[in-house]
Amino acid sequence: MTELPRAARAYVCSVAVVCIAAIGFAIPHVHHVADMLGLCALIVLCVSVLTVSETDSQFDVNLGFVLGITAILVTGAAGAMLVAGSSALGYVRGGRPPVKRIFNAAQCALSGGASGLVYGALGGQVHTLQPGDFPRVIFVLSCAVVVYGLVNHILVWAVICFSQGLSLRRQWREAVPLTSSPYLAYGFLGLLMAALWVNVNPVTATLLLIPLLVTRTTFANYVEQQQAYDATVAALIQAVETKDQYTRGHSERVAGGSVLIAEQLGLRQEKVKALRYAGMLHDVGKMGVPTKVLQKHGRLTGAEADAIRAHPARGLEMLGDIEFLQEALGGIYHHHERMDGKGYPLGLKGMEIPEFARVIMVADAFDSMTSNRSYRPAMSIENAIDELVACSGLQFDPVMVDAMVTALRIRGWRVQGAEKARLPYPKVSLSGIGDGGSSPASPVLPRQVSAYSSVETDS
Amino acid sequence: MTRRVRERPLVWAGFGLALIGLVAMAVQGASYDQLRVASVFGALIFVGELARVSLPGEREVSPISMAAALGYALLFAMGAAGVSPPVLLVAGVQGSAVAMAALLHGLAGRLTNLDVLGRQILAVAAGATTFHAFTARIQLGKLPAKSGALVPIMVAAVLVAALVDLLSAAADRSLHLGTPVLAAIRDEARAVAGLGAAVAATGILIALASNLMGWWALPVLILPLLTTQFSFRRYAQIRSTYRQTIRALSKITEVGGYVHDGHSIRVSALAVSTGREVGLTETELLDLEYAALMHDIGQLSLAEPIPRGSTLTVTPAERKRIASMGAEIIRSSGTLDRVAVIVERQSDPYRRNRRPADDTLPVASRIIKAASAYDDLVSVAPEDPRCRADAVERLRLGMAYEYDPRVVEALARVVSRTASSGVPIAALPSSGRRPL
Repeated sequence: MTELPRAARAYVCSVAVVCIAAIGFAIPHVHHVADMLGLCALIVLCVSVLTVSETDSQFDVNLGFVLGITAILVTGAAGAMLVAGSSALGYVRGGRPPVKRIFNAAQCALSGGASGLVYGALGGQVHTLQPGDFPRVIFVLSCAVVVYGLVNHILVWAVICFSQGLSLRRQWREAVPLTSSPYLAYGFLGLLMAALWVNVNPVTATLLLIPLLVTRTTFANYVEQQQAYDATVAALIQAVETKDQYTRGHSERVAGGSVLIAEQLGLRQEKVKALRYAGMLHDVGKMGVPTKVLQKHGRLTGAEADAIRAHPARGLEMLGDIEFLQEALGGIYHHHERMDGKGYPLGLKGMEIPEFARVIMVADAFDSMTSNRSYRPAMSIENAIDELVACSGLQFDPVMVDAMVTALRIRGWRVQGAEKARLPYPKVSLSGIGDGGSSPASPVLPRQVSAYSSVETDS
Repeated sequence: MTRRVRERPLVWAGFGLALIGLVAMAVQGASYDQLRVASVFGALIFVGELARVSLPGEREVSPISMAAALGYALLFAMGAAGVSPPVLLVAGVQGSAVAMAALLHGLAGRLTNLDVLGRQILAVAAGATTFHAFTARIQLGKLPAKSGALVPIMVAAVLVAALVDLLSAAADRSLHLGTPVLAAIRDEARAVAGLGAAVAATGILIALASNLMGWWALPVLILPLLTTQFSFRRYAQIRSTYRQTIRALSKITEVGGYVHDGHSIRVSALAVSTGREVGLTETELLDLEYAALMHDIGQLSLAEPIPRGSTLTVTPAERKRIASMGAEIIRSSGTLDRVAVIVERQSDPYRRNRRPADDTLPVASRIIKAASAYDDLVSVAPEDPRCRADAVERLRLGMAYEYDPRVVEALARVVSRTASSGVPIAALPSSGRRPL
């Protein structure tokens, strides 16, 4: 994460230099200094009280953006540049590397300045907003907002390209599109704020920030609860797994494997999430099976086999009340079916088996094969893959096996006992600035968050 | 759900006021401008009410509807034209809009809590009255463009509205859940402070911006509130998922044969009612609930299940060991430390021979100790009133040493109440969200 490629460094430096030059050029043109300083103070204050956490770009309210637009209307392009740039001063907390902070400040200032210039060029008035201006100012401002978004998008896109070296088109989508519709609407919020600032008074204008701040805080609470939830589920599952030392970590690895397959298949985000929990909880019904049966070496008696075969139903019984798992319940109930219909509990065949179950089956089998059991040692990863391929069609859905094998070759696998070990399998590494560093240590599964797409969303 | 009319003063007061408003408007007649503005705001209130949210703790809120109603109450001009709706008109418009929304919800099979609606009408009316009382001297319709002077009055008005809403919500809660009044006010304030601030600010801004921007103000201001509402909804969802999952996973010990069926859920329901009776805050109640659900999880580390799972029959040392094993498991999540402490100390006696009572013993631990013992004692014949009475009597005998007298008395009240109403304890509210 700390090591940026040289090209990216050079790029960040040149953006910073351009920005400094632009600021030097702009300073003599700043009017309404008191308003500008007020907005700067407001932006720094807002940004520094916010919790900086992993957030979802779509719902992240970009306060800096709203205040930047306000600055364009209240103080003009030069002032907007300084106001937008000062947002980076607020990010003292959160331990961001200085490179990121510099880049953030520079790109905010440049987008704000460019947008302000467009607003001025189209004849937008500064520091006066009368009801009579209204239909026209909305058109002019829309253009300015689009330019704001475009400049921002291009600057961020370029830094991702320089640091990750992936295909340009894919990165274009990954850089958070500031031009998308919510931003246009937030631009109007900036317009309203400016109208209040100029016509009523600045203090009243700050009322507008209350809903935005409340949203941010709630969102941070949500993220915190979500993490607490994940940690709690993981802790409880571990407690269950203490019954059998051979299954330790199995549930988490099956969750990870299911996510690998789901992402490879390109399933929706919601489905991937549900699958992760389904993988996590798929064996929870085993609590109903006596420990000595689970660990038995020789042949099972009829009653013992029945006890084991009942575990999917037990799991279903336990988890049935969890609303968001409804879709995943089928996956838990049917994860011991086989494509040829010889599995249990219902003996479903082929595509009658729910998609989630077909995913979990493969991840479950793969982890079982590559783990030590009381009655046999672990299989190597290569052999396990061969076995999966050999059984695909009979036991497993070939589509899922293909997805698993492809994903394994790209992302690797963490075997039993190797808690923080390196990924043991040769892979095409996504060694960008975002991946690599965080994924092996992350508790549940590797997350694909590219660092620089979050640069903008955090600011 | 169907409570007597007499028990629902808020519904009657709120909708009664609305009805009077409608009649007054019909008698007096209203200007064309007044009607146009009323219908637009009415529509917004209606739509906002359709998109209501449930917050944790079974709180039904409709931020957009409330913000629109407040904005309407504080309105003084739409664009350059002065429009200032009288209090009764505001109540009439809001009342008919929310009633229609409730009707539509009803057609779709969703229940609406009419108390909440009545409360909202009253709160907005109180705010509007405050606003008009302070602005009586100024002729609102002919106000000059400088509206800054109105802002402090508007702030006062929304504060009054918030206060009325808060107090009536707390009273309602205290009446129907048995929470002590002060505790109810404190919980209510904590639960709705953030959203309330956002709604109040938006209400003021709608009134001001309607003057500056005309109709454009409404969509522009509703948007941030929509995202606020969305984030609250997601927060409420994860909270309820968390709860459902802990409830589900608390069955681990039952499926494993460690305790008798339904023990954890019953103990948690009884513990939460008892905790409410002694005035715990909502946060404390949630910790208590989680701890009660997982109080036996330490038994997972036992090689063989205890016969019938009752921890009453094993030695105190063994009980202590199970409790600390459970705490260990819970603590390993890294996020439930308070819950872990409660579970850890559930086996400690209220006080030991010739020693003063132990102040560091969490109230929640004392409650779980008593509730779990009660459930073990009545497990022989749960439906038999004699068995219940015997169980309470056994707890009383252990009072002042094993159990906290205050907790036992609260528990006895809860037990006698549920016995007389015939409602099983496990069917208490807040067990999940109604689908939206």
